[in-house]
Amino acid sequence: MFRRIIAFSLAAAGVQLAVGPNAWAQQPPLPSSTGTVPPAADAEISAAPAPPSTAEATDASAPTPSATATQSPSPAAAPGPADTSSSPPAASSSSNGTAPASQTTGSKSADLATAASTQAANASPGDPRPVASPSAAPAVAEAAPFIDLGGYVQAEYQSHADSENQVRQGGALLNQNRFLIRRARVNLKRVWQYSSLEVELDGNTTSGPSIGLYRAEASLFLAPKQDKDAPPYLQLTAGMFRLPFGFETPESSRTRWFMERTQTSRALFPSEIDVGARLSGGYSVFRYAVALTNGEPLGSRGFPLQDPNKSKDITWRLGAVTRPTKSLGIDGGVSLNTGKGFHRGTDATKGIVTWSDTNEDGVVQPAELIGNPSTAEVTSADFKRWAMGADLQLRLDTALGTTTLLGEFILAQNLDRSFFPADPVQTQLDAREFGWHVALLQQITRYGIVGARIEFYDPNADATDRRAGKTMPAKNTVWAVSPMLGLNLPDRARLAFQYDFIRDYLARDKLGVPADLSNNQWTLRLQVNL
Amino acid sequence: MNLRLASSASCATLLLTTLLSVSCGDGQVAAFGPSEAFRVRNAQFIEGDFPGTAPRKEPKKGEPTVTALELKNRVVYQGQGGKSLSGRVSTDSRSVGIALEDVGSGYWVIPAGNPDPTTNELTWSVTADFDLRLESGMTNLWVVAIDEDGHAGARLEQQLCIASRVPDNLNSCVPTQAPPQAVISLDWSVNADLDLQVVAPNGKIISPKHPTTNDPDEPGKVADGKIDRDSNAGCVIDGQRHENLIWNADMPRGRYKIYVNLFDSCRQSAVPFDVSVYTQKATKDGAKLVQKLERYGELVEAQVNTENELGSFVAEYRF
Repeated sequence: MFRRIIAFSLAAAGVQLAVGPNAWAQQPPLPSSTGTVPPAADAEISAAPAPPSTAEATDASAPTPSATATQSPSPAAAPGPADTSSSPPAASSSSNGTAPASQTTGSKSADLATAASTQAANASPGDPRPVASPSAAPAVAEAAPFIDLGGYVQAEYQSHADSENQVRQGGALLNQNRFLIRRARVNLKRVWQYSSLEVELDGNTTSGPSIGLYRAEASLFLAPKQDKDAPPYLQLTAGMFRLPFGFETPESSRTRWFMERTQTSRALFPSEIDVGARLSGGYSVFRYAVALTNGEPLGSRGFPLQDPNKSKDITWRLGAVTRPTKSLGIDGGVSLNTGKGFHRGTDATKGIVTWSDTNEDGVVQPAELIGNPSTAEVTSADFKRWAMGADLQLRLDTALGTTTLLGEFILAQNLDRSFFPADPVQTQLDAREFGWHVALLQQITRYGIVGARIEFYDPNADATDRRAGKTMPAKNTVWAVSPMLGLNLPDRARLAFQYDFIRDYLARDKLGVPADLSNNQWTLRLQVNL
Repeated sequence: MNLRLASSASCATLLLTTLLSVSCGDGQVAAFGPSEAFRVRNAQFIEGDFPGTAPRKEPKKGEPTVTALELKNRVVYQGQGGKSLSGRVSTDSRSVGIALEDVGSGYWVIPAGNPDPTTNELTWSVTADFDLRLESGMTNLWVVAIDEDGHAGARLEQQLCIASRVPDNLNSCVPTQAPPQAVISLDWSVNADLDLQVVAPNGKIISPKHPTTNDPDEPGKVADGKIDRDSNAGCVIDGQRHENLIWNADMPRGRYKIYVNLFDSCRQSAVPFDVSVYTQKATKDGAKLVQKLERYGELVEAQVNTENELGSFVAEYRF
């Protein structure tokens, strides 16, 4: 009812709104006499080809391609309320990246294969997810001047073995056993023939309540006119967007079954989002994307979304999306990121007098007063950093459901910006990072899924530790094994449980040797999509 | 179809095996030991009994040994932070365990450091924090060396005096040392500028602004009563959050009215506080301070009082 009110309100303002597969089915078609812009009046829209297919764009635009067409209030497309259950298979493919297409509505195995095939064929390099729904493009375009409203809420309970009922120096909470809104996202999108616009807001309570701009993409694109399912040949996007690196970074959090990206991905890219310009597209099975960005992603500790140096980060990915057989999909790609990091200098200081209680008696004595002369500003410095990676995804449709096997590895240097932030200016030594992960997801009918992910991250291959006066090689590596169990209400809701067994070297044993910290964790998450 | 199912099953089995091999158990205990009353910065906290044997006069051959312990002084105050502890251990040591006797649920470990250029023994150095919850009085600091097999040698014991936060002239550690005649103590728990105000029987107001009990009518006489500090004055946060009015001797008898004034809330919405009165009581060793009165209260931001007026009345005590 609420969405309906919104729809009519916007209609009165001259805007039409699609808010999900069932939304239009509840509404009568909007008459052109209401003052709204009639779809047919927008020639640009009615002739629209395939839209740009960023990961979130296809996720968030809940109305599926053909479904949108049948549900459209456009007089030509939908003279009356649509029956979503009659949507063709390809129309029901907007659900998620790693999850099999058979989670979507009205599916049988054969239908799934067709849907997955269509989706895979249209995934862009910036969106390695095989089941994105590029075929939404023509439908959205034909369905005329809709603003697609999408979104989802991920509410969860987390339990961490290392939680303490204390506050860390500086105020951070050490207790992590808590309920939280991990993500509450709202997405608005509109597509024309040669352009599109998308804005996404994110709210969460991870570090207290916050809400802010998460993505803002303005795109121009040139798409093939003959094949509306194909990705655009060329798409130029400016704004805040997901970086086209590997599989995980461009993947939408809405579609990922695992709670978070791997440690490697989170360390190298603290957030998926950076600001800049991106060129992407595809031809046949090949996909490409190259992005020029500030190199300070949202969530990085230094200057998020700003740029402290003149040089820009270049991120690119070349990939392919194939369907060797009707039931088998193989996608993959290689990625590269190069840029310059920034070592922040320090401000100049005035001379001050400090007290050092050298005899620890708590009493100020003349000999304990120390003059600290003024210091000069320490200049900032840049350093080079890079990452390269490769990713592969296999999907196999079986009678049980779709099996998905994912793998990715990344080599990097000085790119860790979150876990063990690299600063070779300070250490005089490049930090060499390496990480990989393998994940297996098995769908069990449309309503269930089990999976597991094993991941490895080494934030510094040259790490050393000083013990008994000797410098010796040390490990800072992190292993994590994450079994996952999920229930799925297709296209609408998910309930997922994940346990993370974490093996690292963040503690020390009684010999003073780095040892595993007790920091396993589990998460129970409910996600409902708009 | 069967082939596909079989391959899926194989993948699942392989992953499950890897899962199980990596995921048994969970490592060490909490990293920081933040709830411990005695904490060592940048050291690992390990739950359990302190390792090693009772102190020996002579080190046993082949056993890791603490060869030196250096302290700048043997007095620490309740709530004191940043105390330096350092020393040396024998060359066969790999780590050093540190704890306070009968305090907390475990001990702290740091790796042994660089060799000392003179003795070639391995050095170690830590910074320790002593919580307010520690009981005042004498206690033992324990240090032990641990070798590469995990064997700990004989522990080294060093007596420490945990001095009371209520000024007692170290009476809690040395009972023969006379404590003050009386102390009125104000403690609070958030970083606000709170002031202790006491109206003496002669009407004089003693506060951090006028910290002594000097009588203006007797300018030559120096009275003994004095407030020891103005904590968080002007919202310059010093972390002390307590003020004491101390009479070491010659305390005028009579009724004293105790007030607490919230001079600046320093952006705190409420400031809980605790006022105590201590007086000297004779013991077989001499005397000690005994708590005679304790009052709790709370002031809110709306009660900020920067005027030259008394704050909120808390109690009246007759000495």
